[in-house]
Amino acid sequence: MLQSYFKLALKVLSRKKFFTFISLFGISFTLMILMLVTAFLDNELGNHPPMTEKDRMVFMDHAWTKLMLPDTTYIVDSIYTDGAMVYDSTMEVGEAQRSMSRSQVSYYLFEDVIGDVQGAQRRTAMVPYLSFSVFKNNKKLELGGMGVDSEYWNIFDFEFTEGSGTSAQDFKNSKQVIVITEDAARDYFGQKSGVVGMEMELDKKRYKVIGVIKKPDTNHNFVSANVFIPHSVLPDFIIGGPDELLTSFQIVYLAENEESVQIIKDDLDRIAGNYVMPNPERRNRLGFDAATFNEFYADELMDTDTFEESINYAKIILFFLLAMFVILPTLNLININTSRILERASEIGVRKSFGANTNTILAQFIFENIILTLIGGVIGLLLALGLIYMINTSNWLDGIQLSFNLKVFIYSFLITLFFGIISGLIPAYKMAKMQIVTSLKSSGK
Amino acid sequence: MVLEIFLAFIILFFVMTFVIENLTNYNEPLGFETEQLWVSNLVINEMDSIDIVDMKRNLKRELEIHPNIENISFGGEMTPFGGSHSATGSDDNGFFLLSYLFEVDENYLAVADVPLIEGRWFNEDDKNSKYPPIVLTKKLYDEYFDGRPYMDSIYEIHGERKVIGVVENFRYDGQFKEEIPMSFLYIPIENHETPSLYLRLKDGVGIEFEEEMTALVAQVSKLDNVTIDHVEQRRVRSNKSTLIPLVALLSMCGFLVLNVALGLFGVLWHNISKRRGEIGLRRALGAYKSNIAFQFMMEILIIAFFGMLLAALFCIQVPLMDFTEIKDIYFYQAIGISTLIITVLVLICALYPSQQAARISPAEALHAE
Repeated sequence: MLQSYFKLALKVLSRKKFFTFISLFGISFTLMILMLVTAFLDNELGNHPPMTEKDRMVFMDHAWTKLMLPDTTYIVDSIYTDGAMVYDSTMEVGEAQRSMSRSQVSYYLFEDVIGDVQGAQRRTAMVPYLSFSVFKNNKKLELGGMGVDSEYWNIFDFEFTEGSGTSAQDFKNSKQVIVITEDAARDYFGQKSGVVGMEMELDKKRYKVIGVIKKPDTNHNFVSANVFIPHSVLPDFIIGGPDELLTSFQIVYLAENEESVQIIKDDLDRIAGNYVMPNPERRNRLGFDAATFNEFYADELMDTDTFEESINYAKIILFFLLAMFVILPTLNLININTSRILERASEIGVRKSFGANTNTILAQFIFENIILTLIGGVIGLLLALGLIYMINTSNWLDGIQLSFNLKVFIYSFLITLFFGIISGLIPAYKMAKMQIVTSLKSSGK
Repeated sequence: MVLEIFLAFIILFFVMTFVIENLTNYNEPLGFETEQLWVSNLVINEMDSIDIVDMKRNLKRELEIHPNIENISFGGEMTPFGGSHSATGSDDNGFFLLSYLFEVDENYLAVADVPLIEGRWFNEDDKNSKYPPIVLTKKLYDEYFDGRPYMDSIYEIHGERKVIGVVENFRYDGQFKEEIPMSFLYIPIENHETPSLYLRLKDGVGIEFEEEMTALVAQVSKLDNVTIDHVEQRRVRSNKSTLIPLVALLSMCGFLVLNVALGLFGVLWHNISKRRGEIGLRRALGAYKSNIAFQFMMEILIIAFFGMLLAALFCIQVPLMDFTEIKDIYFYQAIGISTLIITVLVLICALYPSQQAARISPAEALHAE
């Protein structure tokens, strides 16, 4: 049965080549872009090394201090009644922000002000955005660096190709050791492996290589450096003096489980609220910007006041875009399918008069349409793979390496199937319901 | 088909708004010359203020005589495309004013080629003036001053300052960003806050000079970590973050529109072939070929017109209701361009099927009927 449907479907498709082309074009490009978007979202927001435990992480990249002063607002209402002006004034006492600083935080804040947080299993503070210029064989190497502690390597599961991360001992003794990416090893030493134990010179300091990692596929600033050094070797002006709240650190907490994420956030708010500022005449409020990875990601795109707003907006916009993007080609496909199926009125009429019921005919048309979408899906898949390859080799997305994995494939397959069924259903239903007399009569045309 | 055109219009509208906004900004002049301009944000550790001033003096002396360098200048921590901002806002002047601040010295005008349109730039005498000088951008003046006098007037902008000049424009935060209202503050060489160093190179001096330059700056300044950036490279890099979504959106939108066009084409063709009898009859009764073609073109245009009208009514709510901070004019332009694109597309798609229809011979069509 299915086999004959299959043959029939192929026959029908090859009969009207132009229509088949239009349908296939629509299907394959739509699916290609959907696959690309899925691959991109999976790459950026999926749980992959080095952020496999991303859902348990709370990131705090900034804190702020504010000076809030009482502020009195007078509102004077003037009403003209009975030929005279009546004034009604109200006074409101609120608070006005006089000044604010927002910056990355200090190690002092991380260790002494916050310390252990409820619900957090591990915590790390790192100094991102270090940058080193090295001239090697007349070529300038710009190496993005990060100052880390030993916990960093326990929270982020980087893939080590050799060696290991900074140990607690090395960190404590401020040893000049360094973990580098394979790319940095290739650029600096000319070889991707076998560099553990070699020395690397940055800013006139010599660091011993203790580990080589695979460069992560994402370029998010919490993990995207080429070289990682213990931040205990960094000079004091980066670390910040005692009592300084805002310097150059970012903090990551690893929650005990996903439910603890909220506990950590609440506890951080509590700590910020209870903290007594050292110079209340200059700044009297402290606040932390702590959020999950997804919230951060949305916030970077959206620019709203709170993380919750950002993620909601981001979801709405993404949903709207995808909906538009799916609806339009589907509508198009429905239109074309309707035209195609109408041409086969006589076939339906004949089949019906020989006893086929509506469901059989419906099933046949949907099956044909699924075949069509599957062909389109395969083309789309090939196109998507080609594009991913192009994006990765040309490094368009600055360090983001897309990959096509099983998850993306399953999503794409489901999308394809959905597409095929929806776009076939309406025209097929219309046709299958058709009266035998009408369909046979119209065949004369 | 109305629905399809409706949706296509709405998508085009949003994408076009985004594209028009960015392209308009991109085409505005930047306000400084990025070619042959190098910048270094000096990372200073453990130096007291006297040492910093000495270092600046040494750098100036050593670099000014270098044959490859045309001019040098010191600035504050904010540098073009550096990603950081500093701003001050208050209503101390009797009206609200928010100005971004950019610290420079007297050589900056020549080094960066800033378009000064009124008044003068900073000079060394400003060190001793009663009020520190300030140079405004035209954007700042237009946005807040509301026709008030400004030249040689004293205003409270990060302290009381005297306005000495106006600059046409200066967009240091990105080429795709809308111009922000800003002003220049003067920092003489004696200023000891973290400086940045600008180098204007002679024409023809290229990248091969960078290593030597880095070493020279490091040696004179006695700093460990010196990184010199090319402002032109920074510009290209900062543009990339807008350019990628822009290109992605445009190609997605282009594909969608093409898809709709092809679909339209197919459906039209099909509809016309179904109406052969009608066409044959009209031709037999004396209609010209052009009449037939015109009829089909008009039919499809009217349908498209309704779809677009409906969509435009929706879209126009966006600027009317002030949903976003994007300027209204971009939305109206986007509506115009979307209408144009869809109309042209529909015409192209209708052209061939209508021609086909007009070519139907009455005898054949009526015979089949």
